Amino acid sequence: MQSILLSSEEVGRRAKELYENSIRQQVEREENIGKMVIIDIETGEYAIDKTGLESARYLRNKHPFARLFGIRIGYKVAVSFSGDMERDYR
Amino acid sequence: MISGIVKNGRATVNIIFRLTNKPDFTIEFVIDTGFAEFLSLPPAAVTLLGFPFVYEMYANLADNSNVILAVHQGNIIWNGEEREVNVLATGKRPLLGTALLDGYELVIQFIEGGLVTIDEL
Repeated sequence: MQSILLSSEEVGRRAKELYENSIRQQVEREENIGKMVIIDIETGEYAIDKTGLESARYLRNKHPFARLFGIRIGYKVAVSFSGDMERDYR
Repeated sequence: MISGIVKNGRATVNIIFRLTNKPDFTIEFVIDTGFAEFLSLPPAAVTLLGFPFVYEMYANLADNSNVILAVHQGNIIWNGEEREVNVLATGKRPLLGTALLDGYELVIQFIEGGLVTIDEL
């Protein structure tokens, strides 16, 4: 897969799919709520930290051309400009 | 302590950016307590300043629509210390959000020219 050629929307869609199918049940614990999980959409590897910067650096060191997408654990979106951060209960 | 002023009805602070191999650079930000991140800057400014791209993510806008935004990394001086923060490439007005205010007290004298102070708690 040449993930470097994918659109942002496609990268986002694949990241969500990876998150729902496997990552979510491993990371969605109380101590991780609100942290960022960064996903390499090609390899499925992921890492967690508060802002996503460290995780992205770690993943990019392994794969320099990785397409990385961030998901905020426990929330519907990673950031809000609307004054509301809606929780994502399942 | 970080201080700023109320300008045109908006609470503003100047943020110092530390650039690689370039002199420090200051940009005026509007404090936006509805914005749940660190900083946002217009995409053209992010490109011009050469902030490295880190990842993309979903953002919820005020009209409740969702968009994908690019996160870049910027190094700023915050409360006298250098700090690595997320800079979102979006909008036309630089915004400072609640992630940067976490653990601080924000006081705004809401009159033109009023004092804005941000103190560590």
